[in-house]
This record gives sequence, C-alpha cells and structure tokens, in this order.
Amino acid sequence: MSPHDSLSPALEATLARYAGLVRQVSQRHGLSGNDVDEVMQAVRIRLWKALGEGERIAEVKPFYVRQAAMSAALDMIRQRRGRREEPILETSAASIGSVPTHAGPGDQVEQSEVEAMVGRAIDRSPPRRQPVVRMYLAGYNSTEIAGVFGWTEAKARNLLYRGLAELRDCLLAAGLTPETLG
Amino acid sequence: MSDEGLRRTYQGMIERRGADRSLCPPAERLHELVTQSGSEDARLAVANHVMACPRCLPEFELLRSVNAAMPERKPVSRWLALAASVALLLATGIIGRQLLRGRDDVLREQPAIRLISPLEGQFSAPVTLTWNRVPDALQYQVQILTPDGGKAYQATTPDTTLVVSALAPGQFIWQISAEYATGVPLRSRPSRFTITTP
Repeated sequence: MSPHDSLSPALEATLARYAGLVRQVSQRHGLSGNDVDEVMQAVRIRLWKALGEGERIAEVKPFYVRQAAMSAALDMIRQRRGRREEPILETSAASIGSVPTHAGPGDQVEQSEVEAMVGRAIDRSPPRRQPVVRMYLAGYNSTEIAGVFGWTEAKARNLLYRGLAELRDCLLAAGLTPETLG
Repeated sequence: MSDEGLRRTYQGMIERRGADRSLCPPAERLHELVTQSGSEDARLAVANHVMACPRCLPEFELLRSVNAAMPERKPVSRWLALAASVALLLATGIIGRQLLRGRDDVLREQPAIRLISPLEGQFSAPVTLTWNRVPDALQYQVQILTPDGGKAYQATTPDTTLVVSALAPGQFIWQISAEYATGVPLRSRPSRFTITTP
C-alpha cells in the first residue's frame, strides 16, 4: 500500500491546500513546482510512517503538517548538497561558458563590467543595508523583506530607500550612466 | 537608473555567477533565517550570502515558502481557551455597559478609529487591510486573530493600509490599535473576514 492510499481524505485535502499555499507564496520568485511536489510527497511518507492509519492520522493538525514540510525541505536540501558536493564546481564552470546570449563579445564584456560595478557598489554599502538591497534586486518587495527579518514594513522600506540611493550615487560616481542600465 | 534596470543587471550577475559551495552556509542557517531564530546580525550575514548565491537562493525560497504558507499556530489547551473566552466576554460586557450608559467621557472624546476593509465577507489571499487615519497616532498595530483567540498575524505600520499574504484559508478577526506618544492606545472595533481556498 502506498502512503497516498492510507492517508485520510481530510488529510489529503489539508496537504493539497498547503501545497497550493506554498506555490502561491513562491509564485513570484520562480520556485520549481517539482520541488514543492517532492517535499509534499516526503511529508506524506513521514506522516504515514509516524502515524500509520486510522484515528491518529485523521487528527493531524495543520501546524504539524507545516513542521513536517519544513523538516522534509531541510532534508531535501541536505541530500542535494551532499550529492552535488563533488561535481558542482565542474558544472558551474561549464555552465558559465555556455550561458546562451544574443549579445556580441563586446557587449558581453561591457555587461560583465557593469555587473561587477554593481556588485562592488553593494559590497561598499553599510552591512545592514547590503542584504536589504540584494533582496530587493533579487525580486523581493519591502513587505517580503520585512517579513524575513521580522521588521515593520516601514523599517525595511527606510533601509531600502537609503541603500538604493547610496547604490545609485556610487554607480554615478563610478561613471555608470542611467542609460547603461536601462 | 531605474529599479528595473538595476534588478535586471543584478539578476543577470547572479545567474552567471559560479557557486563555490564551500562558502555556502549550512542548511540550518537558512532555516534560522526563515524562522527568525538566532541573532539578527547572523541572519543578515546569511541573507547577504543567499541573495548573491545562485545555489542558496532557490533553497532559501523553498524554505521561506514552506514557512510562510501557514502561520504557526501552537495548540492551545482547552482550559486556556475557555479562560480567554470568558475574559473576552467579561471585557466586552463591561466596555459595552460603559459605552451604553455614556459614563466614559474619555472614550467618547477620542477620535474613532474605523476599519474600512475588509468588513465581513470572503476574500482570497493576499488581503489588503485598510482603516482610517487618526490624528497624532505614531503608528498602528494590526492584529489578526483566529476565532479561538489565537494570534494569526501581528504587524506595526505607520500607514493606514497593509497587505497580508501569510494567512491560510479560514476565519479571522482583525483589529487596529493606534499607538500614541502617551502610551495609551486607541483600539478599533474588531471585524471578521474569511480567507477562501484559492
């Protein structure tokens, strides 16, 4: 019997709803749906192994599902890191050279110089603002940044505002024009 | 230099960056980052690495999504829940009597803080909470409770609107407290809303 067969319909509904919420939260940041499926399957197996069938599995609380999912996600990350430990450097080195691009060689050099300037400018900003600016540039908004650090949205917005202003000043001082970044 | 241009450049930089995993923090540090455990300085340092690492970023996003999808609701003992309900009923009764009899001049003189939206009804997450501004308030504390009185969400903001995405489907009660320099808050009446399954 597979874990799927032995879970109660109510728990299956809880798992499905939870997986939908995880996807919804991560939707803006391109998390792979396969990763979420893998975690949820691991949660099913854990619940099945820990609780078996019948009444106990029907009494599983939502917060327990989340704890099981967090534990499963952590294990998945550890396992992947373990598997990739050796080949990861080769893969990364190979993938750098094979990045598909439509730009010519000159454009590539210029783009890499611009990226290096942005990286250096962030590195020079105060330590507390660096992660805030990086998170924003990676696609997170001030509400999400505040949520990660347990701050008010106003505090995150304030740090972000100052950090971005410093970054722009630094790039302008380095000779990077607004047109260069588009 | 637009935000979009900066984001494009930064994300291009991350995509092309090779990842030396020997520099990556252990998975446990990512867990501490998303669960807000450990010192803030340590979490800021981890976040600084994660946001520049093409390997750690998807791992962080997976943990963040798993953590944020359902607010942790610790089980409340039945006696504690019963005691909280009785206390809430008593407090509501006392305040209601005072208001009806018009004896509390202080309360009547204060400006009213009113919830604008949502007022009853069903919504899908994220839900946008809106209330009116009251003079001299320094900031507003937003409290969202489950029907049994458990804390589902809490935040403080100087604005009069807040987007809340971290709510699982279910019924909620929300209330705003305006905070003043005097330290005496002004509370709105609570209102209910329901988050539906997407």
